[in-house]
Amino acid sequence: MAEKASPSSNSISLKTVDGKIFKVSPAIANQMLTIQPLIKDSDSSTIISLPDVAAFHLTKIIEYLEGKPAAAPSAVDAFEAQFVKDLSPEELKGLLIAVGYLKVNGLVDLMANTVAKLIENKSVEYVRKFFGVVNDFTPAEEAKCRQEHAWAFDGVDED
Amino acid sequence: MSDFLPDSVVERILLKLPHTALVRFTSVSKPWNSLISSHNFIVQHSLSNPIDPLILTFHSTRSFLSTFCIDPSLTFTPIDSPSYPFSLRFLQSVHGLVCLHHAHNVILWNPSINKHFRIPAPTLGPAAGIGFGFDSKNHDFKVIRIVHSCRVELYSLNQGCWKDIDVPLEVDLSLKFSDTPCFLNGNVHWLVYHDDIYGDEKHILMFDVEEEKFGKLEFPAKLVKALFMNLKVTVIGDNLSVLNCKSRRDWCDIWMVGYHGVWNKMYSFNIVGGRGISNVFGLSSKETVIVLRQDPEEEESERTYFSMHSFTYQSELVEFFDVEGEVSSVCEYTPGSLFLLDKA
Repeated sequence: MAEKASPSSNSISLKTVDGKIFKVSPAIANQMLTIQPLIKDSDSSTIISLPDVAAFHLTKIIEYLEGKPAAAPSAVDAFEAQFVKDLSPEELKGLLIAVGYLKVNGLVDLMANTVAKLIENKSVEYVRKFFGVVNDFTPAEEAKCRQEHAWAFDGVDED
Repeated sequence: MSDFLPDSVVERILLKLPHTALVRFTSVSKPWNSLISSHNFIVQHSLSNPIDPLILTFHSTRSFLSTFCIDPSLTFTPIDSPSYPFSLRFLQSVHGLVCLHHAHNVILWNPSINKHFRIPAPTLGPAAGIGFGFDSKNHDFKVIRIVHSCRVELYSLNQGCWKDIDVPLEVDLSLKFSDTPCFLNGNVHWLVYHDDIYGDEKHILMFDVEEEKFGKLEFPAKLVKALFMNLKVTVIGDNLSVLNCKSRRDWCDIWMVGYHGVWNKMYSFNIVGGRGISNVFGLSSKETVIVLRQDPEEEESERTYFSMHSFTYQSELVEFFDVEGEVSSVCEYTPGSLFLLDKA
């Protein structure tokens, strides 16, 4: 998919952080809100660099934007379920960063839902690791907080 | 909140989580704790995640609580009940927060997160009427008390204090209140009548919890002569309804207010057998009422027996479901709410 930008048609060239160039139609590029203002000022030879997006993630984003059915909510649901089905937690994380950076229509919500499903039965430790959160509670403060809500710790998945 | 995601994305993810996970994740870090416990987050989460309501029934004889869920085929299934360390009656539940009261005690209880808040003692004397509602403009829960000395006071959970409210002309010493108000479309509704020399004119007194103003709704003309103790104002399937249950008889009429405030008698139902209908509770979901029928006493028993039935007005079906003991109070609530999480 990656190739040198050539002054042909009116496609937009996007360059990922790992150096690959993707050509997409303006209709697709316009759904990435972050690059929208850059599209207006670009001509066919412009290459837009995406510092936070790797080729794997951009491939997935384009797959989503090109493949999403236009109508029928049930078809959209089925497509979205298939889209996120095989993503590992690590891939999900990377995609979430890329989607958050590009502000991709519809996909931010899908990613948020998918991550929510992934973590809803997870432990506090899992969530800290997943989001890269530093625990700034003192041990006493954390123990107090956990004890206060002890019922919410029942039935948590093994990490 | 995350070393790689903007806070706004983390917040979006958290808003999708069920309440149990959110309460657990208050232990993740101080910023997570502050976000999840913030009033804004609680309001957004609690108002945006619709979950089917559950039915709470309180059994006064043995002071315990049962919880039922209603599945789509309208069977009542008992589920684990939250612990209930009170002996108060349900007044009303709004957005998952149950208001309980007895005499001067008013408690707001969120069964979903197992938390309650005792409202400070009111400043005025015994209440003739009490109501509970949600101000959706200020995202505030309010309790209103109308006291015998014709004064009205209001407690705002956001403000944390009681204050006096202007008393309208129609609230005077002769006004008698039904014990069960209902809350619909921003207004508390009470069934009231004037117990004075001018007769027994009944109407529905309304209180707009956002504007903090009283209003009045005319009563079905044909029910003006009905016995006040047999009448109940309630919400059935989002319709303001008045129930007229003849005591010691086995039938009940349901009146609903339609367009332009016109009342219509929509349904009548029978629960045959027993010694009459003893109480009826409307449910805002499922177009259902719960009916308690007093049953014949068994020999050598000093206890009164009740059986519980549901009447669904769309199908006009009466169904019996089993419940132990005497049920004195029924309340419908929506689980999953985080309200009160920010209260110490």
